[in-house]
Amino acid sequence: MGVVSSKVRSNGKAPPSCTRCARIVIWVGIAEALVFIVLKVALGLASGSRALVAASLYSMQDLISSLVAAIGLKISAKPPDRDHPYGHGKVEYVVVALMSVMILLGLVALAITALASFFGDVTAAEPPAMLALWVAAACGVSCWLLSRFQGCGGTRLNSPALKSCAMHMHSDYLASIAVLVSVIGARLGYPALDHIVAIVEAVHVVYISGRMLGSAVTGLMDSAADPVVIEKLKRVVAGTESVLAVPRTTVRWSGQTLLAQIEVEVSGDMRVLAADKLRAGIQRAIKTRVCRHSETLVLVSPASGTSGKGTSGQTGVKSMSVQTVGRDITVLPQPEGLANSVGIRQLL
Amino acid sequence: MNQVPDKCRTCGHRVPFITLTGNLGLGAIKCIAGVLSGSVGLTVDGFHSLTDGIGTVFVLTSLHIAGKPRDDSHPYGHGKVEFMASLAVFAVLIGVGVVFFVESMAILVEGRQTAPKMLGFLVAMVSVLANFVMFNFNLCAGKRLNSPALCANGYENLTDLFSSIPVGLGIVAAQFGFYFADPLAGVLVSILIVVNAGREWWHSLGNLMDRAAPAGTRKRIRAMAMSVDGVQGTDRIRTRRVGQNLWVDLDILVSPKSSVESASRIADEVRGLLLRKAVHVENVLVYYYGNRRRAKVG
Repeated sequence: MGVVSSKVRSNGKAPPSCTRCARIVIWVGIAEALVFIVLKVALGLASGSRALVAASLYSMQDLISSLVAAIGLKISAKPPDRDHPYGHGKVEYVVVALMSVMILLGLVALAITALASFFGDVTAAEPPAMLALWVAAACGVSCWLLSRFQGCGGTRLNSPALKSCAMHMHSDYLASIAVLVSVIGARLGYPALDHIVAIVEAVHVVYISGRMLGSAVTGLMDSAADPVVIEKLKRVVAGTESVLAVPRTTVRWSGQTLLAQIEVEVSGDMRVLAADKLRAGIQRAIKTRVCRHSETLVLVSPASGTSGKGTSGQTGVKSMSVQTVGRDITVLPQPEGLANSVGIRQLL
Repeated sequence: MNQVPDKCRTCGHRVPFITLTGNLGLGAIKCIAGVLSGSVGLTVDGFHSLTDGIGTVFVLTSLHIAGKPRDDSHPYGHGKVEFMASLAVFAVLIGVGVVFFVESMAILVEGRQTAPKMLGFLVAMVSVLANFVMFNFNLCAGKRLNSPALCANGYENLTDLFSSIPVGLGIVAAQFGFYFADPLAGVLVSILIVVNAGREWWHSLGNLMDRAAPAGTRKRIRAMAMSVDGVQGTDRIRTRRVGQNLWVDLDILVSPKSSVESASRIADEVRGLLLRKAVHVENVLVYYYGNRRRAKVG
């Protein structure tokens, strides 16, 4: 994935400035979309180019998706409450799903207009104005810039919503290039280029939104976190003093938050007070070494044979819970799709 | 979960198919009859049933997926897929409702001067009966199995039932010269669709976001835990729905001086009790803490 690039330093920490930057970059995206809507409609009406006015619809799509992302990030940052004991991180997956569906709907609308102009009146096929070319170029440049910034923020915060926003921006940037190519092609006398570009662009958009939808479903399904993360987590826990074994770990993502449940086995003679300390130590270790914003549930059970009876009846289920709420974090991979594989390798 | 009789389970598998056939059949009949008799309300109603049919296909697929056991990549099982299916179905339904609202409003404002034929009334009454039967089937199976998807389906049938009544009345009223009654019924039905679908959609969204069980359930779980010997108190309780069942993470307070061995035994006892006694609780994890720490953990 070009957007969420390998250039981001995956040192495991996202400085507070990243949080601020991400918030700003989202609002810049909203402002950009607004500016282009006004620009396209005004210039389109002034020059009488219907294509330009129609293009403002795509900026409106950008506007809605940026707004949805902004709202999603706001909700996701809320701390856990009585009704949402695991935090609000999952709203980000809903946001991602919404965005992908919106992009797909936009594509359907595009296909309908394309077919209509194919069968319909010839006047629709007006020669592309030079003006449209310039607007497309400006749109392309700003979309590219935004996708870089949002991609960086998304990776640093490990936010699915922000990452998807960046992907959307990136696809808009490619769409602008597609427009440029087809307009230039038409001017040079290759009108057929328009159709080819349109088909390639459509396939690309389906691919992008399909991936976004896939990652949203993966997150909403409580899928397990990347095995690399789980391995790392297990290693951290197993390395803690007085932990004899780590029989079970279950780790899932809730937006930017890593939720894990881990069972550790200790000597049965240990006091509960010491177990509390051990638990706190494990939670701390996971926060500092795996995922900074984490809330951890650690189930401490006596190892079989260390005293009296056998193992706890709670096996068969997971037991440690590492939850990362908020946006402090590290660069960690989401379940799939939005994962930044380069980031993980470097991190671990 | 354990208390669900086998016959309910078989019924749960069968009901969606009955509903599917019923809805698709009803939808087709109502649409055709709506067009033939010239009733706006009945046509809207017919489309509503058709979308219900499509919703049922989603439900069937989701129940199938939700039934799959846990695996490495889905350590919490596949239950959440039910909420996703509901989310998609109700989103579409909201859209359909809005479209019909606009269309019926347009006809109402236009002020048509013809009355639909009585054939429409008959079909509307058939729809009321059929939906009543399907609603009961679905709700019974849904309640027993605690399946959000089945319940959602049942309530859709109820919506259909109540939407068919004004449609029928509208057609009858139009015979006596109240021509506005039929498009008005269309408007009412579409509002009903939007409100109901909106509520269900919000509900599914909440569960996808790991919303906690109602306060009463949480209270009962705490009380059950307190009844176990050695439990000195409860701290945090986290609950969420994964498909048809509740998953619980409960913190209990025990004596800080006791050993891990005995504390684990108490925790296991609490866990066993909750799994046996609490209805629809699929999974419980009980974490014990030394009683001296009153502060929140984590």
